[in-house]
Amino acid sequence: MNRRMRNALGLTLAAIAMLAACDSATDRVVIGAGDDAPDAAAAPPESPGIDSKPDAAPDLRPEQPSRGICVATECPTHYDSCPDFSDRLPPFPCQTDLRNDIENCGACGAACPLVGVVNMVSSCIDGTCEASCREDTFDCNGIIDDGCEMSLAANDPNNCGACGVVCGEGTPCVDGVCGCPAGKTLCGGQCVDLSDDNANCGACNTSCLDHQPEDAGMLPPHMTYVCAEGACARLDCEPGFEAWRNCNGSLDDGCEVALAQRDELGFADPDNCGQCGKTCAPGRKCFDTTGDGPACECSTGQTICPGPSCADLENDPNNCGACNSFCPSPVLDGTGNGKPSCERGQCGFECGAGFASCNDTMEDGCEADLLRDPRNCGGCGVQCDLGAGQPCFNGECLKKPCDEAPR
Amino acid sequence: MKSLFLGSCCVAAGLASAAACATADNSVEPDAGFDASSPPVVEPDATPTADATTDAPLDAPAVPIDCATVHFCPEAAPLSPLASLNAVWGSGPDDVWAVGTRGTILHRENAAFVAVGGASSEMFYSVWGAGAGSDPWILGSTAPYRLQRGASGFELQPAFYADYTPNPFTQARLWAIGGSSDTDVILAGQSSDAFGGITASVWGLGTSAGGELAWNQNPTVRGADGEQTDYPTLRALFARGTDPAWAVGENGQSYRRIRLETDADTPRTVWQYVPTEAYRTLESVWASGPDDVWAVGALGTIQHFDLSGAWHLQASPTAVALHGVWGSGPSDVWAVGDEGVILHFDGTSWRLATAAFDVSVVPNLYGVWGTGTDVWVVGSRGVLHRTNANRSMP
Repeated sequence: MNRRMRNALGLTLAAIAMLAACDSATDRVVIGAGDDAPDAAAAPPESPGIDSKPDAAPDLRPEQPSRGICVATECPTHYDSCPDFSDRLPPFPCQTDLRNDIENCGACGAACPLVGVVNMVSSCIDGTCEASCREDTFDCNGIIDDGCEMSLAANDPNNCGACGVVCGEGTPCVDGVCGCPAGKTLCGGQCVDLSDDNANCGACNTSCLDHQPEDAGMLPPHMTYVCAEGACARLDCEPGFEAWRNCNGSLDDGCEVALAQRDELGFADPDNCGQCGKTCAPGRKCFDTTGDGPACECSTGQTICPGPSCADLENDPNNCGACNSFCPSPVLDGTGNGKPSCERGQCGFECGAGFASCNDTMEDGCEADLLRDPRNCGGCGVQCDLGAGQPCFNGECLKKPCDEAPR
Repeated sequence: MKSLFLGSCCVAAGLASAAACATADNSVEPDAGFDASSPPVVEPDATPTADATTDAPLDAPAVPIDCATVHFCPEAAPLSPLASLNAVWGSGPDDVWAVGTRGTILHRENAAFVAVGGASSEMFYSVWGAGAGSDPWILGSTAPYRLQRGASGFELQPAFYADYTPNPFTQARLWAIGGSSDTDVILAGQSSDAFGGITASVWGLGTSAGGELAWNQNPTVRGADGEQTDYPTLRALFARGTDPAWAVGENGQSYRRIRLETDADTPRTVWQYVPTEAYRTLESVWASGPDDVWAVGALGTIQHFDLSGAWHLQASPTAVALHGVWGSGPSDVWAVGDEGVILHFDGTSWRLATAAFDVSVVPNLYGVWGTGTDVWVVGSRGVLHRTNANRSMP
């Protein structure tokens, strides 16, 4: 395995990212905030991260320039070393973020209570336990006992799209809106345009499939009368998955091209790729890699592989050197804090951000946690003051201003 | 002894420059031999940085490379900075072939490597020839080729032969090409029916029922009578003269080619399973004789098949993946692998060798071949060469 890849590092401020994610929660309900909750307004500690320059001074230095910098053993504000359920201390100190840890919300052991009501979840936000509604549900009646009783999907005419939005008498709530917009009619719970809807042409449940004109006669191949101006009266290509098209404009052979039709290998018509007349260049095939319809593939540097799909054989660990040539993981158990990689058509193993292999074997993967491990703090072999108990925090050994100015 | 990373600035990554091999003295202390404990190279900055995730060469110190102080030194090769060399083989110092990604085929003639053919998207992983004057065989990741010498130089010809369809949807991975002569050419790889007929992991050059050239299935079997058929993924093979040929691969599997004569009327050639001492993937195999076979692979694995008639796991001075093994004799064997690791076996033990790289990215090394006096190593950034100029010869 390539050590250069093994030592790949990246700045991960998971705690801060989580905090930001929590901030977006809506409809919060405080459920048991203690008086000892920390000041949520306080700024998070500066975390220089492991990719800062080694000599970058902590933010403490400008405040106390004359005192010098000493080893710190206390955790930064908002952080602690909380034991787990079995009262075991964590492997590395100062890794509990009291602002967003649901088991240690505001203080070690202050677990947020479980909320046993409909659609309501408990979370720790800024060190305070809060209950919030799941996505697209709301607590309209303010009663905790029935949780977030209003669901957008229910289309409740008394809470249509939001709490308290009442639709008028006889007006249904459709997709969170009262009634259908102008020009549309409610058919089977959906708002449709009766003028051009093949299943509801001119009236609800009037399908053009069985309302062809009586004088239609023998239709050209793959053509049918479709809904236009409220009647099944316009001769056009059959609607449907095959996407039939009249590419040559002639009615003699009807709609002669099925844009979505595939051959046995999964390729569509390379002379009408996604649209009439679009021809794929030599070496390219027509197929769908995105779900947005077929296109001429693959792009430069990629190879057509079974699926069909496009693969970069130089860099794709699932198609390394050849289609379907998988890169194995050397790790005996678990993920090893990384994943198999492919570089220049040869397999390797790439450590996840903040992890590295420091022990000369890849059988345990990238075993060193460079953000937290005081024996490998920010890099393999970078030791904090283990005797003093100096923690490794975000890839840096914790420091503080010295208590007394040096003589 | 502390081995050194020696860098020279202003040289594009991948373009090995023999000109950088100056004779100027530097701080490397004299060395009497191979180092069993130190790493083979020391990067300029051992501290991981964000740069470690990019391909961009770091700024290397402008230290001239003294080829007299290391075991291997760069040799110039016309290689794209984006390409990698995966295999090397030759019949002599002026007939060495190195192949790799992006259609790269290099030939050493008149003491220098030259490019043969143009760039393509084909990725070559193995090269072998029957000897001087014989056209070499080159293996793409899913198809064999042969370089044919014509009036205007070498020309790469598909060697698909009968029953092979160059269809990515039915192809399977091929890993190795080798043999003992132009009439005994062998392919090995993932088990498949890529060459028609029954599923196999080894194919030998022969003729089809219609008398055309064809790759014929060679069974991989186990049991005294070969009663059980295996479908291994084989990564390497080695054959020479009348000695038994070997193939090794994933899960530490090894197979030896034998002639089964349990049924006197219908003797048949099979590759018979020989258990090894570890399940780690074996990526390369080389033998000096029927009772001296070396195989190397994942996680620094080295295994030796000896007079006892069995494979034995060897103490390895490295934990990185080893990709290539070759020797000039029982007491001069080389193995190469990731992170610039080169190992040498002197008849007693394996030790780390030293190499200078003229780019600051330590390359992964994938292939090794030599004549005895000369040894070439190829990898992700070019060619390394060991000559009489390199001191402390084994």
